Amino acid sequence: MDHKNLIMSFLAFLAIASLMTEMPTAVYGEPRSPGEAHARVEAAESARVALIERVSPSVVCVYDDEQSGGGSGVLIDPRGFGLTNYHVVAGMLDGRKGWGGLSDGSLYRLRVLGIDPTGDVAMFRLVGRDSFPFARLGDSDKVAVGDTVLAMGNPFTLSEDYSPTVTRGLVTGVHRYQWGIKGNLIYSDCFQTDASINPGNSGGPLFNSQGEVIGINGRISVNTRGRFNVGFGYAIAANQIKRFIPSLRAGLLAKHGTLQAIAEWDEAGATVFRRVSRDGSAYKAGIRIGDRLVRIDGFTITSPNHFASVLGTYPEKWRVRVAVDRRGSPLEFVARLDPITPKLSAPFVVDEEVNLRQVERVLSALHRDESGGVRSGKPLRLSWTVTRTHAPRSNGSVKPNERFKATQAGDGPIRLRRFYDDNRPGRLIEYDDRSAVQRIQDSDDTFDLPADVAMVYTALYVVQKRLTVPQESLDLTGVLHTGADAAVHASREQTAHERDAPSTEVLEIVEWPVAQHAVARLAVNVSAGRVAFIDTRDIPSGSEARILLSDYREIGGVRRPCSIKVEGPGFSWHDTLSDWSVGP
Amino acid sequence: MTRSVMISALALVMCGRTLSTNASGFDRAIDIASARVVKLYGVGAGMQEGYGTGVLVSPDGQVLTVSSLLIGARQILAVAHDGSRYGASLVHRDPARQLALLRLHPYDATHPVDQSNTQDSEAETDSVGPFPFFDLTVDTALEPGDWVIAAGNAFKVADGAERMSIAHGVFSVATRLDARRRARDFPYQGECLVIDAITSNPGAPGSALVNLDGGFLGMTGRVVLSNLTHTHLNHAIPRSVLLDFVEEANARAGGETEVAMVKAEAPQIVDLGIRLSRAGYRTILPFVERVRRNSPAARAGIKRDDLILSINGRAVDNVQDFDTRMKGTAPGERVLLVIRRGRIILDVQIETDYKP
Amino acid sequence: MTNSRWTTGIVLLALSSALSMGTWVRGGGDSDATDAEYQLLRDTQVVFRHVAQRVQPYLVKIETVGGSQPPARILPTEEDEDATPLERDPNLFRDAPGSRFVVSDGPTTGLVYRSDGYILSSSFNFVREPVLISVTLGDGRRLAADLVARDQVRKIALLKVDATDLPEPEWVDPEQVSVGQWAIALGLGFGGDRPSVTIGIVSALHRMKHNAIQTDAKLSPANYGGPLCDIHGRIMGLSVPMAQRPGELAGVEMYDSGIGFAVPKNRVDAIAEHLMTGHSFYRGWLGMQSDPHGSDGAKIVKIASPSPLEEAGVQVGDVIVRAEGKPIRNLGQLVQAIYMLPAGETVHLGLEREGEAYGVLVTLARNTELGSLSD
Repeated sequence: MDHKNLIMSFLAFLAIASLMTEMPTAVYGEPRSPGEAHARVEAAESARVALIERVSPSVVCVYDDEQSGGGSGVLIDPRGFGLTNYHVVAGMLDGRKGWGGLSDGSLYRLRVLGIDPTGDVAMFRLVGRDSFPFARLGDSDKVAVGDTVLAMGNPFTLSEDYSPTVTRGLVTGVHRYQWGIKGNLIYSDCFQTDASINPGNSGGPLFNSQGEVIGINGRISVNTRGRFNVGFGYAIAANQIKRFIPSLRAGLLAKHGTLQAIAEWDEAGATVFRRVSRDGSAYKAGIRIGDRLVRIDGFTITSPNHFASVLGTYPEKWRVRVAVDRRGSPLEFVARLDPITPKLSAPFVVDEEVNLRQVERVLSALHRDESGGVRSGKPLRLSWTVTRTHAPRSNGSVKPNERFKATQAGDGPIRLRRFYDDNRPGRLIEYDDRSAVQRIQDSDDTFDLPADVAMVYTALYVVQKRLTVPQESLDLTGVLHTGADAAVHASREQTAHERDAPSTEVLEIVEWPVAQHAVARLAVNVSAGRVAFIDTRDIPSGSEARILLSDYREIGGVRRPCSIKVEGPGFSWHDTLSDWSVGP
Repeated sequence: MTRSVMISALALVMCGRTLSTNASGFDRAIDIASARVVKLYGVGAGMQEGYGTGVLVSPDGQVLTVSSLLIGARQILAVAHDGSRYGASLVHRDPARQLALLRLHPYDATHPVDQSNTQDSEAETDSVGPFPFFDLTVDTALEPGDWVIAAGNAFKVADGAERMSIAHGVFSVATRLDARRRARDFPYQGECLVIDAITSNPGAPGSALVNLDGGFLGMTGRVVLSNLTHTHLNHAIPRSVLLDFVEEANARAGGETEVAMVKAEAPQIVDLGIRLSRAGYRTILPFVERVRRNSPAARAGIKRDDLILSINGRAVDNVQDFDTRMKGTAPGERVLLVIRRGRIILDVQIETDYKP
Repeated sequence: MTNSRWTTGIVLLALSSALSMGTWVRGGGDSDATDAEYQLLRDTQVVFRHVAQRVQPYLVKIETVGGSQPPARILPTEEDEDATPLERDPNLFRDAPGSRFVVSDGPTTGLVYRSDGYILSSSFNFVREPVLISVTLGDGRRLAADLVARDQVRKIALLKVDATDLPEPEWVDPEQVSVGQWAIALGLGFGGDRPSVTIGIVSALHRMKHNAIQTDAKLSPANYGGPLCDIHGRIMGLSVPMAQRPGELAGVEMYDSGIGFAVPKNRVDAIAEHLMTGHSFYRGWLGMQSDPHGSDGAKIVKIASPSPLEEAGVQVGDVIVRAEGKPIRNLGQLVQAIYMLPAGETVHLGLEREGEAYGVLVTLARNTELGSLSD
C-alpha cells in the first residue's frame, strides 16, 4: 500500500508539475515591466473611482424617525423608490416614517411602503426632490463566484455627511441558502461576498463592476468576536427582488410562495419529495411523495438545500414548473405556489393611498397611446369577430364565426350582442358589475351562466372595459394592486420552447372585484402597456379560469389582443379575434 | 515530455467556459482550490461533532487537515467538490503541529468504518479516486502583497456539491506563530503565513491557500489569538511544514494510527548567569543586578544595570515574564536578548551551556 | 496487481489532472476578458510589492517595556466617588466593546515624520503606559525614544529619537484622495524586519468629523501607527483605531473588520504641531449627567462644579437641543457631536430652559478639571 501511494503520488506529480511549472508562463508570457504594470493598475483604479462616483449618489443612509438607529438602502427609480432590508424598517412600521440621507449631504423624508419579511426586503420612497439619482438592478443570474463587487452603505452609522462607505470584495459563493429566524428573514439563493459588510450595511446595495445592483446586503456570519465582519456577508439576489417589487411598491405585505412539500436527501444522494401536503400546491399540481426532484424552472436541483433556495425566491401564486423523475419516467408539473404568511408582531395594514397610486400607474399604462400620451375620450363601443381555432371539447358559449358587439350605455351594464352571419342579432350577453348580474339573454330569456363559463365572460368584460373606458371615468373602489406574477408558465399549452426561454418579465397584478362574488386579476406588462392574462375566480364556487391575451395589434389607435386562449377547469379553447372595430 | 504535451493539449481543449463580464481574474485560482478541498463532517453517535475542511494531497484520497475535535469523531464524512461522499479515517495526527492526515474510503452510512481497520487486505476494495490534489513537493514563490485565495467551508455555508466558500486577500508577511488558544500557548511555534483574508472562522481551518495561479501555498491553521497583537491571527501553515508532516505520516503508516504524545522531559533550566533586580513595587522591570563571572551572559558582554527588553523576539515586561520566557529555551540553544543600556539598545546573542 | 491495471491508473490519473487543471489553462490570447483581469491582478501584485519596498525605509518598529493593560472601563456606580460625571452615565459606556480589548505588549508600528527625529505612531500603541520605548529604524538602527505627547482623541502619538538624518516619506494631498483608490496598509506588529502588507480601498473621506480617511484594508494592532499608502507609495494617512465615541481604546474592537481609519496629512500636521510643544490632547468633557432615555434632547440632570457648563451659566433642568448646529434628540447624539473635540476646543450648544431657547459657547475641559456633581 505504501508503495502504491508513493508511485501514484510520483506519477501524479509528473503530470501536474509539468502543468504547474510550464503552463502559466507559456500562456501569459513574460511579466510586464513595473512601469507598465503601474500604468495599467492606475487606469483600472481610475475606472473604479469613476464608477463609485457614478453610483454612490444612489446609496441611502436610512434612519428611523428618531434618528437613533438605521441602516442602508439604494434608490432604484428617479421618483425616489428605494430598496432596503425589512429588518431595517421593522421598527418604523408604526408611523411608516423615517429619514434617508444621500451623498449630496441632505436628509430626506422617507416613507416605508411594502415589506417582504420572509425575504428581508422592504421598499421606501424618499420625497423632497424632483428627481433622485438611482441605480439599476442587474441580472443577478449572471453573477459568478470570483466576480468583483462593491458593497455600499452606512456601517455603524459612521457617515456624518451621508456619503456611503464603499468596500471591495469578491462574490465568494452563489446559490447560498441561509435559514430564517422564526420563519422570517430567509436568505434564499443569495450571494456570499467577502466585501466587508457590517451592522449598518443592512439594506445597502452590492454592485457589480458595471455599477448594477446585483443584490441587497443584509446578513453576515459572525464568530465569537462579536458583530463584526469576518468575510462572510450575504446579499439577496436582485432577480428575486424584482419579482417582489410590484408588491413592495404597492405598499403590500409581500408573501413568498411554497409548494407545501419537503424534499430531503435519499440514500442515492438524490433530492426526493418526502412530504407532500394534500392541501398544498405541489399535490394539486400532481407531485407525489417519492418523486425525485430534477428541475425547478431552469434550475437543475442539486440538493434539498438548493430546492429550498430556488423555491424561496418566488412570490405566492407564482407558477413554477417542477420536473421530477417518478420511477424512471420524467414528468413535469406546473404548480401555483401557496402563500407563506409572515409572522408579524402587529398586523400590516395596506396603505390604500399608496396602493391606489400603483393601480393607477398600471391602468394608465393600458391607456397610453403609441406616443406614450394618455388616451382620452368618450366611452367606446367595439365589436369583434371570433374564430374558434382550438377547442378540444365543445364547451363555452362562444361558437365559431360568431360576431359580437359590445356596447355600454353610460354607466349601465356592458352588453355583448352576438350576431349571426346574416347579421341577424343573436344572443345578448350582459354584464353588470354593480348588480352582480351576468346573464345571457336569448331573445327575452334570462338565465344564469354556469359559474366557470361566467368567469370567462366576466374576465372578457373586464378586458374590454379596460381597453375601452377612459381612465378618468373608472370607479376604482375595491381595486387593489396585489403584486407580481410571472409572464412565463402562464399556460399549460405553451410550447416547451416558450417555457424554456428564460424570462425575467414581471407582470403586475391589479385585482378587480367583479360583481360581488367574483374577482378578476389583470396581469399587466406595464412597460409594454398590455394585458398578458386575466385570472378570474368565482368566490362562492371557487371556480377559476384564465384568459391569455396575445398577438397584440394596433387597431383603432389602440393595441388589442387578437388571440385569446381560455383555460378553465375542464375546458379550454383558443379564439382568434379579428375585425375589431371601434365606434361611438 | 510526450505525456506533458498530451496533457497540455487536452487542457487547451477543455478551456471553453462562459465568462462573466464581471470576472476578476481569480477564477483559475478559485477553481483549482475549490476542487482540491473537501468538506468534513464529524458524524458521531447522535451528536454533531463539528465540521471542517481538508486539503487533498494525493490522488488516492489523502486529506490533510488541522487537528481538532472533529478528528476525534466516531466517523468522519468527507464530501468532495462534486458532492461525492467518502468516509475518512485518521492516518496520523501530530499534537505538536496540530495537524492530521486522513485517508478517504468508500462511504457506507449504515456501517461506520472502524478507523483502525485500514489494512492492506482491504486496500483494493477501499481504493477511491483519483482525485485532483495539491502536490506538496511543488514550491511556489511568495512575496508580501501577493494575492491569495482560501477555499474552505467556514460556517458550513456550502452543502453537498455546493461550491466552497472563498476568501480573497493578500499574503501579509511570514512570521513565527506566537499565539494562544484560550488560555494556553499554541503548541506550534514554527513559521506561518499571515494573510489579510479572514480565516479565523469555525470550519475554516484546513482550507487550501493558493496564489493567483492556483499554486499551493499552505493550509489555514486553527483559530488562535496572536500573542503579539491579541487579535485573531489569520494564518496558514506553509507548504514545507505540511510536506514534512505528510512524509512523516506516510513513513509511519501501516502501523500505529496515532503517535502518543511524547512526554516532555523535565525541562532543564537554562542558566545565563545573571540575577535580576527583585526590588520595586508593582512592575518589577528586569534590570540585571549581577552577572556571574565566566557565565554565558558575562561572555556575551551583559553588564550590571542592563535592562532586558526581549528574549528571542518576545517582549519582556517584568521579572516574571523573564522567567517564563526562559523556560521556553533549551540548554545549548542560542538565546537572543535585546537590552537597553542607558539610551542605547543592543542585540546580544548568548550561547547557553548544555548541562548533560 | 497487474501491470495493465497500473497503466489504466496512470491514464486515468493523467486525464483527471488535465481535466481539473484545464479550467485555468486557457488558450486564445489576450482578447479573453478574464485573462485581462488576471493580468491586471498580476500587475497589482507588482505594484503592491513596489509600494512595500518603497515605504519600508520610513517604517519604524516600536518596542516597549513595562506598563500594563489600561484599567477596564467598567461602568462606575453612582457611589463611585472617583468617577467623573460622564463616566457615570450609563448611556455612554453601555456599548464600548473596545474597552475590554486586551492590549498586547508586542511590537508596534511607527512612521518617520521628520528627518530631525520625530516619529508618528498611534496613541493606542502606548495605552499600557510603558516605561521605556525603543525603536528600530528602517536602516536597522535601534534607538531609545521619548513619547513627546499624544492625542487621545485622534489617537496619534509623537515620538522623538536622537537622529537628524531620517528619511521623510512623501504624503498625498488629502484633496487628491478619492474613494475607490487602492489603499495599502503596512505594519510591523508581527515583528520581523519586513512589514506586513494589507490591501483595501479608500472607503470614504471626511469621516470622524473630517479627521480620517476610511478604508476596508484590514487595520489592527498589527499596523496601527503605520501608514496607509496609495499605489505610488505615498502616504495617504496614519492608521489608527477610531470609533464615534470617546475612549482611548475605542475602535480597536473593529480591528480587521474592514472598517479602518487613517488620519490624513492636513490633520496630522495640525495635530503634530501641537504635540511638538509637549502638550497632549485629552478627551473633552462638558461636566454633566444627563437622562439617557430622553428623545427631545439631552436633559441635564446634574452639573459638575466647576465645569464648562457651569461656567457658561447652564443649569440643571436645561435641555441641550443643538450642538455644532446639529439637532440633538438624545444623549447619544450629543456624544456623537462632540466625541472628536479634545479639551480646550469650544462647542456651540443650543439649549432650552422652560421652553425658552438660548445658546452658549462652551470650552471643553479635561476630566481632571471637573468638580463634583450637584443637582
